[in-house]
Amino acid sequence: MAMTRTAIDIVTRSWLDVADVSLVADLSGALFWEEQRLLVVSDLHLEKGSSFAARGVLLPPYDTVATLGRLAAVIARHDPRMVIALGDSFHDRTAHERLSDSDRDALSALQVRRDWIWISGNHDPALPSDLGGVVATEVAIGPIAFRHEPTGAAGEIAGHLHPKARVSTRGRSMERRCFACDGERAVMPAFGAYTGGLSIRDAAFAKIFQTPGFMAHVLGDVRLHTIAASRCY
Amino acid sequence: MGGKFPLSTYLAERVRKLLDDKRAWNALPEQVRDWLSLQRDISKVPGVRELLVETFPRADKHYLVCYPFEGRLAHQTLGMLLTRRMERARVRPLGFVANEYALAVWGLGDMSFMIRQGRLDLNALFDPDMLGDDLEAWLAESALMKRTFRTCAVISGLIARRFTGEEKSRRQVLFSTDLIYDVLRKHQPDHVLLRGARADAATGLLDLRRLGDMLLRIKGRIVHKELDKVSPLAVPVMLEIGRESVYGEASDELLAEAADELVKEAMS
Repeated sequence: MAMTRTAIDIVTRSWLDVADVSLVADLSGALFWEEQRLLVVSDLHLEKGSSFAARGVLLPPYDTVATLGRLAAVIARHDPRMVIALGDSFHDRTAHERLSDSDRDALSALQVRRDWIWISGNHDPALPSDLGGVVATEVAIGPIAFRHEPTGAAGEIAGHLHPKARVSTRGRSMERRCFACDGERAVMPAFGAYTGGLSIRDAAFAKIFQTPGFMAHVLGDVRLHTIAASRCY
Repeated sequence: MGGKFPLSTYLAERVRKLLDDKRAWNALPEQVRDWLSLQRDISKVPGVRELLVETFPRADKHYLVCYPFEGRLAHQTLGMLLTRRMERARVRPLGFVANEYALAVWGLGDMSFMIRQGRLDLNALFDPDMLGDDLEAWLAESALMKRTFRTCAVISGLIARRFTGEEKSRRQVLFSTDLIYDVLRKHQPDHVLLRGARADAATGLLDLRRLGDMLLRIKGRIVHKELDKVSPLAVPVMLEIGRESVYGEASDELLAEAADELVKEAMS
């Protein structure tokens, strides 16, 4: 697989190797497996804004439209044959009922001519069938298993933890979402507009990666940056 | 250099007048008199209505120091906007530092040479039109606006402030206002909290009115001195370099730097 990479690819694209499969790490936080034409996004948390609003925290309600807009852009970029939403696609059990008609239409438009798999997550354990696509608890393709909550197994691509990394150099610091990967397993960043993050130095990551030698692939403004997790905090 | 309150306009006016009036120097302590005389001989003592701009090389960098006497806040805003423009003019600015009297910008490009060659036009650089598009473009992305927005969001009750020691949730129950800021800016740019943050920043943190007044006052009155070394008047602001953190935005470069360390480590 490494043979197909050109010098230009290495400069403009970031690659994530998981169990000998090379995937393109997209700047948006999605993963694309070229041979399978498979696009993976995790933790969309659609309708998180309205979920908070129902509890009296009146967040502006544009998060679903923002998230679907970004999803449409990454789908247009890669034209995948299959899309996997890696769990927590909806922020709560009834969130899908609150989708506006236009958001629902936008979602349907994205599903045209491609397979769509909703992996269920802890926020959306029981998704209805009228959303389009199929619902599964996990999916295995070749050596890779896609599931929501990471178990630490080799060949696993998961979400759930919302990894982010803080990097500081010469007294300035910045914090961004990131992929966490050690070559055998990966945890994807949350894709949703209103999703926060958990530092990759948190004990939750130590449990999955066991060795401290894993990498953060940090989402910058114009490209991804591969930084040792031990260098972040 | 005092606390964080900027030099008042009234006091600034007095300082400018004092410097301009040689007879008034007699009332100053001897060391200060010597300092100003030396400045007069080496460069120039800034006049009441003009803006003195000095350029000189030092170590392997080139410096531009100007003396608007408008207080730290207005100077920091000016520094932010000037460096954006210098970036476009390929001066390759690296950073800046401000105190109450002056602003120093440094970079890799030889500014003296560029000004001589006509490739860098000081009148264009200090044109008040920087308060238009340049300001908007900078503000939209700036961490400063996000911080101000957070304050507005807390006051409005949109989010609750988290206090040190309070238990942190495993995954963000409380909300990052940066995320709200980004979404709002795109989908409802005239939102009342965005307008509030903008107004707060303009008066409290950017001193925009004062910067605007200054730029109008000195328009067409820029006096440039090309020097071969640092001037006496520039020393205080130059001493702030390193002591005061450089006021700039973190960016991809910062991440790239951290990533490079890794490459170097691997190659060594």
